[in-house]
Amino acid sequence: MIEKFEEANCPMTLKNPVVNGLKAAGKRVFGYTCTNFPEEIAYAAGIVPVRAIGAPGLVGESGPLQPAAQCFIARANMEMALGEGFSNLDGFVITNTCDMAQNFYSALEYYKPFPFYYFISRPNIAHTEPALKFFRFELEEFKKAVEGYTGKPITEDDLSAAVSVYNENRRLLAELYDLRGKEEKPRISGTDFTKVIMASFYMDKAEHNRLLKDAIARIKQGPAVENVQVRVHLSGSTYPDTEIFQLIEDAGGMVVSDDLCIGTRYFVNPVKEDQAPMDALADRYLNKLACPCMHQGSKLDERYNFIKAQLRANRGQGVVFGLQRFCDTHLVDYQALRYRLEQDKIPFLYHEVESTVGAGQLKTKLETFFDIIKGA
Amino acid sequence: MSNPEASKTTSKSIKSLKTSNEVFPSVLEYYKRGHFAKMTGARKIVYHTGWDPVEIDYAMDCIPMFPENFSAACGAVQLAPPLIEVSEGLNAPEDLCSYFKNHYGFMKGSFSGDVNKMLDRIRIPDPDMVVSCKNLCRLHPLWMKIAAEHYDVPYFSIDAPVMPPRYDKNPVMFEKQWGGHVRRKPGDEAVEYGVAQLKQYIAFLEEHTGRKMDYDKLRECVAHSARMGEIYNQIFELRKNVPCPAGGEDLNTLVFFAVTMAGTQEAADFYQRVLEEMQDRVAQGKGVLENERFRLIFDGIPPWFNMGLFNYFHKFGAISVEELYPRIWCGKLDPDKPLESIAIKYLLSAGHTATFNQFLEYNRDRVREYKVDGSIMWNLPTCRLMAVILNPRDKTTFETELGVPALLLDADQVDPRRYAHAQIITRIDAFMEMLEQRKYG
Repeated sequence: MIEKFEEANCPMTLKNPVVNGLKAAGKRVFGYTCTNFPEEIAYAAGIVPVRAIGAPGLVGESGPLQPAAQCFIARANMEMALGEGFSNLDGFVITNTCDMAQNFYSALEYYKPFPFYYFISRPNIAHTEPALKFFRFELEEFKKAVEGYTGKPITEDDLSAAVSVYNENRRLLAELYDLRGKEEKPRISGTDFTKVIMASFYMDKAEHNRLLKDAIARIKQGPAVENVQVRVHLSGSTYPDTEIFQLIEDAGGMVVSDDLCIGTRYFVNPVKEDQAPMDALADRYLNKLACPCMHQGSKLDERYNFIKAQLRANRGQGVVFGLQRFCDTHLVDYQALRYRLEQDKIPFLYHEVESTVGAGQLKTKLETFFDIIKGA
Repeated sequence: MSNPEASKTTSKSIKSLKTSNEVFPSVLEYYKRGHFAKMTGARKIVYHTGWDPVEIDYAMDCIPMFPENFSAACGAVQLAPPLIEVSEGLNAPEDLCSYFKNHYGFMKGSFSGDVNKMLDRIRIPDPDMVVSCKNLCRLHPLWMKIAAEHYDVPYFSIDAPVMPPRYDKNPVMFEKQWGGHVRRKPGDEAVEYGVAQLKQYIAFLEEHTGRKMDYDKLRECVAHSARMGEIYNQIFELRKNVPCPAGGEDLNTLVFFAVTMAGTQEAADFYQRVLEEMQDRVAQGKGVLENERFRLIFDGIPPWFNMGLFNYFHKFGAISVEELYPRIWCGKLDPDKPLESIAIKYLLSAGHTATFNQFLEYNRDRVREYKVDGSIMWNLPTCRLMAVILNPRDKTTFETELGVPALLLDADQVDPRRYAHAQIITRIDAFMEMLEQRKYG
């Protein structure tokens, strides 16, 4: 049911048939790294944004130029950017999030800038007027830069149309997400759900919406996933493939909810359509569900309340933290979240991933973790 | 300056300035002052990350305290490993910030015996409020939030926006290198964002101290800090002299007052005495070394557990004449524009530009002006700022753009377990031999 999405699951854009199809059709394509990039502004200018999420098992020829002590996602992205992996992209935009994002911009700017290369200085705090005002200014500057690149103004109508397409995508992804976790038996596995959302990173959203509507209708009619013994919430950032989801399923579990950058953090919080689009975009992309890079005082509670709400809504029995090695923001946030989980007596498992998920070790940990949950 | 201990695995440094030897007693005194305030309730204790606008705290009669400085002190007295091990027992990975893990272990662990006895000397008082500023790294605010939760006290977070690349084209604001400032003028929107946040910070302090900000007092504190900055900058300027009147072993220690007491007359007066001691030396043509043969840059957070390493270079006739680390706390301020200049000093300076261009300009100037022969890059794999944003690109630019050999050494700032002494010394020896060949044939 998800075959049409699978062909887009190729993070190396040079080899991604869907991205190459867009290029062949004359579309301009920009890369970006983080869920905080306001894709709609590029889309409104006729540019298709595609996401850099690392690549599995990519070991770099770019090694000597790269810092060793950075997460594997960043390393793999830099490998593709310094090499040929992203060479079919017309531009790349980094939105400020973590130290890796900042490094990615400055390193590539020094070694090998993209034809269109831009850094959006997004604040690391949300829900304050000064931060919103600054970010709104930054988005306007970005819009001007894109207009300069295409030679064509981006109108309010262009932006509203883009917002509408993206909001529909968010609504459909949320519907599919609910099919995984809301019912007693999932209608779609964690692995398949992730393949669908990953495909959205490489497709024109209008096309993804069309396929998604069709898939949702068929999934609703199709069989449920049987024999799910343990329902887990997966917490982390980004993975370049679905291996961790598959391992959890192989061990008898199922990811039924998440707070991942390739999961809910990507599609929750629609853009308000009753506001001027640039204002609404600034509001959405600053004040959306907090990731660990944010540091407003309320961030940890925002994050934890979301995790708890997801556990409740999807009958989750425990939390698996699958965190990237060297990802300070997630690794420190984990320390605060673990005390909250202990206090609420919610079982959790900690696991670090790097160039691979570490299948052997994770499998053993999951078996024990699931035994504890089942015995509880 | 001969240090017989310098070739041991870890050792304290021997400083060349008399005033440098006043620093550690001052650290202990500073902590005592904090404990006294805590005990009597006379002044509020505010925790901060490494580089925060403490002029505002002093204007509000609060005492800023620094868990990061506490971690450095733990490093200096060889106390970090047992504290870090507590953190690692809580799944804090080995490659996470050692400063954080040291303090986190201190908060979460319980200690007895010798560890407790050593802690009693440098124990940081509990906070009444916790503040963080994202101007050095993104871990700082998260660490401070954890501290605020641990002590159950109010928390305030200040954002330092990453300066967009377009600012690289702005007019020059600071001629040459001035403290930690980047050269180009930040955009008005960034200054406005910084000032607005500082006003919110003042409101936070007013709420939790029950006192209103006295803006005359703030201007007075900023004037002290401005004077301190001018003097501190002159200290860096004096180090351009050959022979150099003060090495890295001194400057990395002297920075304590600039970190913790910016905004006080005490700090400005202290640096005035340092300056005078250095001016005397320069007037007499004296340097740290009798026969100065190599002038080095030492970048990175220094190894507090082994500051004797700075003296180790002396045996080659080499001295560290310029370091990025102590320079960061040097800011140019205008008492008539207190909030704007505090915003520029702390929120819109080195450490948060999106491009490398301004760092490159900075490196170019200091290599030329300090007549640098080589660069030692003390790389910290536990520090994303050093190990990712700065290195190894900094090394590349030293070598390829500036023609200065650079040695990248992986180690740590407080955790001696991450320091392979024999390997580091072997690499330093080889590097110095190469410099010898290069400079003297």
